[in-house]
Formats: sequence, structure tokens, C-alpha cells
Amino acid sequence: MSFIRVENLVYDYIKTDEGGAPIASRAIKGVSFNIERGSFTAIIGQNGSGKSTLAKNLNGLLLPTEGKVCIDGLDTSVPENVWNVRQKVAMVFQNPDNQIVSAIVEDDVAFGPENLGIDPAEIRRRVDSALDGVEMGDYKEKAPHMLSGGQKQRIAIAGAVAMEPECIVFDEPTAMLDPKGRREVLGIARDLNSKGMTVVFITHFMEEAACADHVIVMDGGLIKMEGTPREVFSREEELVSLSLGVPAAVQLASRLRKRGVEIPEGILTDEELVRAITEAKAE
Amino acid sequence: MIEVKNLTHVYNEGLPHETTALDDISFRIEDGSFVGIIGHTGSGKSTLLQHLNGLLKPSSGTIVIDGVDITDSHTKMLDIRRKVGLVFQYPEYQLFEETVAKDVAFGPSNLGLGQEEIDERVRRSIELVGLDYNHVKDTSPFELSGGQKRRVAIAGVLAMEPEVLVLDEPTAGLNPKAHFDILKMVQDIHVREHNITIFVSHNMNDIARMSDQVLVIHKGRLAMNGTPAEVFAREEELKSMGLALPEATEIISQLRREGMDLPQDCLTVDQAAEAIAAVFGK
Amino acid sequence: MIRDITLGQYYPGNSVIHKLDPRVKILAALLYIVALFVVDNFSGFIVAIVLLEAVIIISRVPRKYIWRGLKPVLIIIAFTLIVNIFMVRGEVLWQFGVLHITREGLRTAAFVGIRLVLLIIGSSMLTLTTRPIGLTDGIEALLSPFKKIGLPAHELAMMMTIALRFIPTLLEETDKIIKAQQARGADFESGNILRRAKALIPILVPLFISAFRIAQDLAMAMEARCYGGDVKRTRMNAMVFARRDLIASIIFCAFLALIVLQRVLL
Repeated sequence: MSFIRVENLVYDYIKTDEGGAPIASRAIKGVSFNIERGSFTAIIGQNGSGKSTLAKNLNGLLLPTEGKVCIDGLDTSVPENVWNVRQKVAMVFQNPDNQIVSAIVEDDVAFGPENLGIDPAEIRRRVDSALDGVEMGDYKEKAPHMLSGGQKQRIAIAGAVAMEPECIVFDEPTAMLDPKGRREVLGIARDLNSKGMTVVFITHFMEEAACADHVIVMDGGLIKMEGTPREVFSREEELVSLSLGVPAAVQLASRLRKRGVEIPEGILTDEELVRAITEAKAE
Repeated sequence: MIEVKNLTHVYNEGLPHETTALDDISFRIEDGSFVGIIGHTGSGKSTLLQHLNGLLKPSSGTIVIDGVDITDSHTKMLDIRRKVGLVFQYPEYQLFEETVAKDVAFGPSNLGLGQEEIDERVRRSIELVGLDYNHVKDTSPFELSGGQKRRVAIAGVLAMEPEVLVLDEPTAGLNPKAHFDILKMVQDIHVREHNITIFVSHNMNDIARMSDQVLVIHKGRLAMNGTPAEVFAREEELKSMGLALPEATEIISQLRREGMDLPQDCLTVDQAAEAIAAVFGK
Repeated sequence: MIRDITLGQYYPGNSVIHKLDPRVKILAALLYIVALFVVDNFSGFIVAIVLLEAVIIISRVPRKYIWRGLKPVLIIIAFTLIVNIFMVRGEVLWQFGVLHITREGLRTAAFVGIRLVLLIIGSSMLTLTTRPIGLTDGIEALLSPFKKIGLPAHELAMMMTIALRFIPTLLEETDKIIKAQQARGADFESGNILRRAKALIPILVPLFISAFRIAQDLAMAMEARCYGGDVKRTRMNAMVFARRDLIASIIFCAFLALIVLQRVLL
């Protein structure tokens, strides 16, 4: 059975108009998909496509208006499941500053396990290993506001890891970072995934989505495309029509094909393109 | 024309933790240029920008804009602000008025202009950033989308009608579409106003595609100054500073290493496609 | 720079002072402050200085940190000194026009000055050697007896934790907003009080909006990390009352007793 199962999910935000009457605005208009244990799924889409709302539905921060979200068989809308669900699916948010609770790095990483009521010695062990895992062990006693954006984001990841979840949902974790910070965060996400962590990575950087083994494209509250990065990025025109674009290697490959250079389909990375061109030249 | 000469800025001068943020920087920017500044976080880029409109005063060195030395203590602050408009990172966080029109009017009213002139400028700059004046003027800026808020914030600076527009990472945190739209808008304004535009970005594709001149700041020093083609030809040096090439240039460079005979100065996917196709005789 | 403010800052270390139970440290600091107000002669101050000096030496906190914490309040101290020197009536030592310095004035000024400096250094030794979490956990524990009468001890402590974490962030934010409005020609330095107060609106509104955004994001992040109030929380650094805490308690109680006795007897 899939680790995460989303069935016909609909989500309405409720606002009130000037008279105080509630108005529903539909952010997710009925989506279904599965996420397998140990997979790396990227979700891409514009602002307002519903991707962030979707993320918050994956650990019970938001509950479905209609439809169902099941985590490891647990229905998120059943109130007794909420702590279990949040322990299984941890989250890292966009703004590196606004998710760190404590004024000392290691106390912040301990926050999650403390909430779970874990034994102090075990918390100590988890905090140390989580901080080493994101290479921030030397910053244990530092104040978060003295760190760079990328470093803060690594602390936030350590805080999620220390809860020993089975899955981490990254909600646009790189949007506010510089290229170095982005590389670090993506590197850590891939590293965690290679050790068995299920990763859901929401982003608007195509080259980050290209690292996933499964890509979901959202637009207007619906899933527009789904598949491996190779499958999704080969549909360049559709992506462009959603104003999303494709990685440069994919773009260049298709331009060359149009000009009659024989480049095979399914090129995704720079290395693949360079190999394909040199091989075509050799013939 | 902007002329920066031997600009040096030392934070906490004379204290034990003094740090040199800018170290002997000199460059010239001709009228009508579109200038890109690159360098990683903490390189001194932001400190440099804040000198350009007088928010920071240099420890030594001068900045002369159209013959006026803005580092001279006799130059009036408001005159500097009128010459150089600075748009900070995430400028939407500085919005504060009840309506878009009032917020955009903040700058021009600080300049002490007459009401008629202010209204005219507000209308003009809201239209310049691609928003419908009649549609947005009375709405609260906080009800707009992220990309629109940023446009309003930029309009607030444009309304001061600066001769030089400086933008610090104007697309930070934006989605692909909003990113593209904002850059298009900045380019349009540059063409229409024909002023000097200076922008900081981490996106090398944008820098290569849009700039006439690129400045590379590294550890507080001006490491490179030239056209995009000149700067991005110095691959080794850039990479040693932790900076990347534009994606297309990177692919071309890898192909050159494989022994293919390609020109070094391809900056965009189109140029790269052209050059590679030429090798294949297509 | 705003970043240099050390008020409430923690200096990481491994000394006995650092390791003391936060509850003991908070009570000791309170005792010390009470004692400072009981003292009414110089020999009492000497005892207080010796004790504080011992704490500083054992804690191994560099003196420049302590000095930095004192710097922002120097003006207040200087002002109090001047007021006391010139305002207190008594035996005149020196006079120039309406200004006069009296023996009593000098004495009071010296007392107030020493008291203020010791007060600030004493309380900053508490914050410098206690991590913010320890501080808030300590306060929570000390207030918990009052939970029975409805005092939300845990919530208060959590609010303090968050405040300590976000004060530097908000200060930085303020710095940015001020610069951005200055770039739009805002002037915060001239005009009368009313004008200046009005000039603050472009800073305060964005700052409040920022604070609300932080609060919203943070609430979401805390919920995602299974925060549900005080229900079943444990602590990584559980507070343990050890032998060193007993010794410290005895020392501080003895100190207060000594000060009280001295005042009564001398």
C-alpha cells in the first residue's frame, strides 16, 4: 500500500466578505495521487496553483473539505490520528526565520522531540545526530539569527529529522535562499532520501524538480501533469503554456532537434546532453 | 554617468571587530546602460548599493553622478534620493498605506512636490509598472498578489523619478511567471525612460540576457567589470568564487572541453543552439 | 549596529555557574537584587562586589561581554549620578551660582551608581550563563505553584521563549524598513514631536505586519512539530537540583543574611 494516499481531495479556504458572510475559495479542486515509501516526489506549479495548500494537507495542518488523505493508512481527518500523522510526516517551510522557535540552535532542534514526550537522553542523542546529519554540529550553541538563510534552513531540517518521521514535506524550502543555500538544502533532501526517507519537495525551480523520481505539476488547483521528470519535461510546450519552463538542457535539446541535429528524446541533464551531442558528432 | 572612485567602506572603524565591506572599488557606468551585479551573499553587493543613494557614507572614495558628488557632505540627501532610486529586496514589506495610490505618493510627497504633480507621478508610475491605475488606486496594497505588491513597491520608488534605478534582487522569492514578468517590466521601464538601471541577481541567465555591463563583487573588491561575454568567459575565476555560468554557457563550455570547436561567448539557449547547429552544418 | 546589543544574550560555556539549576540562578539573582537595596553602607557593597566578582571569575564569561551589556545604560547611570550630585541638600562642599555639591549628594550618587552597575551586571550574569530555554523553563517551574489559581505558567514561559528568539529578528527587520523608507525620502530626524511621531507610521505599520506574518508562520510551524501546549512535553535538559545547587543556595542565603545583619548592627 502506498505511504501517502490522496483521494479526490478538495480544499476550500473560508473568508468572510464585508457583511461577515462566509465565502469559500476553492484552492484544491479534486486531486488524487499516491506517494510511495522511500520515493522523492517534486510538486511544481505557480503561486496560487494550490501546491502549498496541498502540502499542508499532507500532515493534517489543513484537513480536507472533501475527499481523503491517508498517511500510512491513517486518515488525517480522524482527530485521534493527528499526532501520529504529524510525527510520521514532518514539514520544512519556506521562510527560514519564521519556523525556528528557540534562541539556541540545539534547543530548537529538541523542540519537536520534546513535544512528543521523548526521554531526555534519547532527545540528546537525536538532536546530536540530526545536527551532524545536516553538518551543523559545530553550531549547536549559536543563536539562529546569526546564521545564513541556508544554515537556518538546515537547522529547520534537523528539527524535522529529530522527530524521526518517515516522510518530510519541504514547502518551497529554497525560494528565499541564494544559490549556495539552495544547493545545500537540495543536497540534504537527496541525502535523506538515499537513506530511505520519503521526500515531497515543493519548488518552482525546474532544475530541482529534475532531481526527483516523480513529478507532479499543479495548476489552478488541479494536477495537470504527472510522471517521471523525463516524461514531464519532454512535454515542453505544455509546461511553457503553464508558464513553467524547462531546464536549459531540455530546452537546448529540443531546439537542436528542430534544427535537424539528431538528439535522442528524454534528455534531462547537462551531462546527458553533452554526451548526446558528442556522440552525434562522432557519427 | 556614474563614476565611482576608490570607494572603501569599513564597518565599526577603529573597533576590534572592524570589517572592510568594500575595498577600493572603482568603476564607470555610461548613460543608458543596463548593469548587472553578481557576487554571493556577504560579498559586499548590498553595501555598495546603499552607497549609491547615500544611505551609507563611504570611509573613503567618491561617487559622482552626472557631475554631482553624492558623497560630499554638502550635497542634500533629498537631491541624492531624487537622482538614485533604490528598490530593496522584498520591497513589498515596506508598504504601509491604506491605498495603493497613497503608498506610491509617499516618496513624491517627501520631495515636497505640489499635489497636482504628485497625482500625476503616481498615475504615471503605477502605469509604468504595468498595473491598471483606475483599477488599483483605491485598493489596499495588502489585498494584492505577491507579484502585484512588488510592482506597487517599485512604483513607489519610480514615482520619485530617479535618473538611476537600482534594484536589489528584484525577483527574489517569486514564481517563474512573476519572475519573468517583473524582469520584462524592468526592461520596459529602462527602454522607455532610458535611464541607468542597475540590478543585483543570483540568476546568471538573467544577468547574461539583460545586461550591457556586469560587475562581479567578491570579498568586498571589484573582481571583474566587463560585458557579459567578457565576464562569463572567465569560467575558472568565477567558479573559484563560487559563482556559476549561465546554463547555456555551461553546456557550451563542457562541449568545448570535449573538443568541439564552439565559440566561447554563447550566453543564451538560442545562441548555443545556433552555434551547435552550425558545427553540424545545419 | 543593532546586532551588538547583548541584553538577554547567552554566552555558551561549561562552568559551574552555567551548570547550576536555572531555578537556583533565578532565585539567587532575585536575592542579590533585594540585597542591593538593603545595603546602606560601603562595606556592604564591598561584600556584594566580592560575591559578584567571584561569580564572574568562576563563570569565565569574558569581561568585554559584560561591559558591552553595560554600555547602553551608561547614559542613564550618568544622568542619575548628575541629578544626585547636584540635587541632594546638605553640607556644601563646592558652589558655583545655583549649582552646589554636597557631601550627602556625593555619597548618595556613589551609592546609586554602584547599586545600578551591580544590578545590571548581576542580572546580566544570569542571562549570560543561562540559555534562554533554561531561563524560561526555570520561570515556568517557579511559577507552577500558581497554576492552581489559574496562572498560565507554561504559556507565559513559551511567550518569553519566542520573544527572546524573535527580538533580534524584529530589530533587523526594523533596520531594513527604516532604510527602505529613507530611500523613499522619509525624514525621521527633523520637525516637532508631532511630525516625528507621524514619521514613525511608515515604520510601525510594516513592522506590525511583519510581526503578524511571523506569528502566523510560527504557529503553523509549531503545530507541524506536534506542539500541543504543556500536555506531555519533556525537556532535553531536565532541571536537576544537584549538590552544587545546594551549595550555591547556601552561599546566597548567607550573603543576604550577612547584608541584613550588617545593616542592623552597623
